[in-house]
Amino acid sequence: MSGRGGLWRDALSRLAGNRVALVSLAILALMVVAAVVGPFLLDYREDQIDWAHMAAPPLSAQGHWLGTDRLGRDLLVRTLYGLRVSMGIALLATLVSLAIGVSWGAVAGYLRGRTDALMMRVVDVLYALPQVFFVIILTVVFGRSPATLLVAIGAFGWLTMARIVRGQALALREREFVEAAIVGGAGTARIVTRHIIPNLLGPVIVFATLTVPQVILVESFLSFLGIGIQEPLASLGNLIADGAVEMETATWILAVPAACLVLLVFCFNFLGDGLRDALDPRNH
Amino acid sequence: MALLEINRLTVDFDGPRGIRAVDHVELSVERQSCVAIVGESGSGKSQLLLACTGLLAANGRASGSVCFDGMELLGAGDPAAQIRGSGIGFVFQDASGSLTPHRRIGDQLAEAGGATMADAERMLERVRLPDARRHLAEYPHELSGGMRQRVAIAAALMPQPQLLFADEPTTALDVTVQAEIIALLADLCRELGMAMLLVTHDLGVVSSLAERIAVMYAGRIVESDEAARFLAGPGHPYSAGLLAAVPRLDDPPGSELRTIAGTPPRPGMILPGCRFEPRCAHAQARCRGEDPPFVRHGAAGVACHFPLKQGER
Amino acid sequence: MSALLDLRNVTVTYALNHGPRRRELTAVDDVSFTLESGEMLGLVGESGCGKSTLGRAILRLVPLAAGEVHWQGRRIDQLGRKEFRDLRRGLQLVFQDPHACLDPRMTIIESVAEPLRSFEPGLSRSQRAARATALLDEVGLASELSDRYPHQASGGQLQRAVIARALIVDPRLVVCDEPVSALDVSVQGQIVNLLARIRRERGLASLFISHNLAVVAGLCERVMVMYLGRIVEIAPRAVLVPAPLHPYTRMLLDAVPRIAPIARRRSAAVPPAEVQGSAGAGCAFAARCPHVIAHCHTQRPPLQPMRGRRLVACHRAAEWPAGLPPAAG
Repeated sequence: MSGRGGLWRDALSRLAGNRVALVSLAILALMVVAAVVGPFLLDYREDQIDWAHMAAPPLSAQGHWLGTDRLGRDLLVRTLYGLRVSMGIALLATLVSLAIGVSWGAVAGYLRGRTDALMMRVVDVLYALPQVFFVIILTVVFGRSPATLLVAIGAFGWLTMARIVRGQALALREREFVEAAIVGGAGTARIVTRHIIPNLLGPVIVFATLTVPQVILVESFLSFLGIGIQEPLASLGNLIADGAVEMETATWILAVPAACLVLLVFCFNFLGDGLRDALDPRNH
Repeated sequence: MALLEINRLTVDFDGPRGIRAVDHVELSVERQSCVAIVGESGSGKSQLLLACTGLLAANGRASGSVCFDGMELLGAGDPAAQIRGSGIGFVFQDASGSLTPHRRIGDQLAEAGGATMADAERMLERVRLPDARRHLAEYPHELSGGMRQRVAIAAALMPQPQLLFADEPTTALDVTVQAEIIALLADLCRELGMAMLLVTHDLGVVSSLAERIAVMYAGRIVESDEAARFLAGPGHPYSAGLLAAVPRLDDPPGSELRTIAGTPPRPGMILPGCRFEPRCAHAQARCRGEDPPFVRHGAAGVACHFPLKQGER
Repeated sequence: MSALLDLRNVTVTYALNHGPRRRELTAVDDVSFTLESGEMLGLVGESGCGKSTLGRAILRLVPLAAGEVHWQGRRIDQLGRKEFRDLRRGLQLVFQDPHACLDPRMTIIESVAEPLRSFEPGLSRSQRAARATALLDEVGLASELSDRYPHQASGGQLQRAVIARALIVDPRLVVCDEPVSALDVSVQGQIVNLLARIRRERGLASLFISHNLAVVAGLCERVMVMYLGRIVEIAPRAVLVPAPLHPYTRMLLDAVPRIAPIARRRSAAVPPAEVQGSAGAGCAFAARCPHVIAHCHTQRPPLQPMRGRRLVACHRAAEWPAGLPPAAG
């Protein structure tokens, strides 16, 4: 009965008209499916060493579609696993950022005054901390695991989201329908949850889709440096680190995960652009 | 030949449903005369003006003919140069449409007419702005709304146009200032021998200024006549409704305002018969099925199957 | 019996900038008036006169810098937020722009029913919907529009919904802030007539704020005129329109456009000085007044009672007891 779906349906139909965004979405969907299902369909496991075919180029050896790395592990399978890990961490970290960042920013922006100033100073302080050092400290204290990495990235990911949301909330607060809600007796909690947050979901969703590739890059970078995902677990980052070593002799070991990463980042960015256009209220 | 001849002007907008904002409008403005187009939201009146000056949005298409002093305006190249070069001035509803906030007034005026500071000062005096020299060095935001609009009018007049387009020039102003600006526009047209095409929803503005009045509804001109005769007794039921709906000080207190039932149609809603029929108190069966054509009687014209007789309001 | 609403020396200021040297704009300057139960009081003035700010101050959407607001005999401007929220039920507001004051992400019926969630939390969803439907019916909004979103309805339809939302909690006073200014002329009358009818049927008091003197004079028994934050005249409309005592009121009356093919006025050789910002030490209108004398620039005229339940803030008002005649030409 509620027509709330009507607005999202409008946005979806607008998105459907954007070919680049649709293609990106399709590619991403494919990659997700491949990452989840693929390893089960292939012959090799991710840590399985094929002694006969070490550093084999693509399509040269039996069953190794994309070749093997210098330890003889199938590159396609490892890349798919890497995709799983990287995307998994990125999505989880983004969700955490969203939850914390949106609540923090919406409350700060709506309440204004001293509460806002205090909340945003916390954000400023955290912003000033160098993320890499923080990650290193965490890994030293808690050991290297995907969970530590998730916490480290999540602890910083929500900051920008909070700032953006706060700006939006500040502007929304001045809108007449918020005044109308106040006159209608609504309390702060109700106004923030029913009026402010739903009206800033558009920019938030767009920012979230653009955050995911950033997180992937951060994780890749950290893993590349050796402080992120550790062997034998694969992530796009440490795969690229491996590949960099063999760059001149066995280029495919670098090329495959790198291409994967690039494709992932491009697709999320195009999708984010498409979402921004689709959700822009001026298109009504 | 009239100074401005609009012939079968049609404006369409692309979109999921193609929208026709202006539907085969015909209008002419004689030299040194003032014509007012009256309409409400959705009537297409602003789009009409924008189409004449090439300022339509990117997804708008104008077809037909707009002929200024023998020169075709539609489809010609750069609109801004056209306006400046061909003797047409434009006054927007909001002075910020014509004045840049970060440049001084004197510079903007001089640039508008390719003229000197002395000319700019003279023009400011012409629009009855006291202390003109001081204002030359000021920025637009330092002036009040009414004074800004005077400056905008001065800017439009700098290139000494033969024709002035004015899109709701007083709507954004206070009531006491509106009266002054209307009087100013009327005097300027007389003094400079200028013609004016004025678009507004405000019948009060029209009655002080216009010699001819054309009423637009749902993209069409539904009535056109000399101002005096129109105000004494319009022919189209919509025009009569508009005139009756204006609240007057001498109405008996507590009396109900006369209104027109229903709401103005949204652009893009096309009906088979007369577009005003759903709201018309005089509608009959023929009106629903048959679209009334615009019929002229001398200087007047009306698009109605059963126009009101003189003296019946 | 005390008045329903009683404002005493209310002042509202805005900060024009922040930081060490704060400049302030006095939007409402020492305003006092009363409103009786069931009365329709008009507030007229042009842009920047502070009438909207005054309306918002009454509803505590902006804070008071000074003064007192009394509601039903009780002082309310100093109440805590929670206590004031309980009172909000009696005091409602109809905004100017219906497209702006309705949440674009809520359907019309959801917006209309929303105040019930705060003031009658015991109601179930269907009960709220039923109440909202009844009110939409009362304001004449077709039922098929109730599930639409604001951007799918016209200004006139939306304004009816806004009025329904204001009425759903059964208030005693409705402040209407320019409720018809954003609407087409052919639709304005519908909303004005609706407001008049509702007020008659419910015995509602109303503060009707507008820049359109003709509408206000037709609708309201008593009219207040504001200029640059100050009230300059209060009078029953039966005497205000034919015999205004304040020169600004006379100017407003003269500026109401007349629909008649009259001879055109000549434009003024010099436009009246158009003042921005707060007024100074003397009378706020001194810079534009055709009847100004030296005294007006130095001494602010108090709002004084005159014969016939009128108040005027003008040093010279006693000189024209029969009111100021219309300006020539």
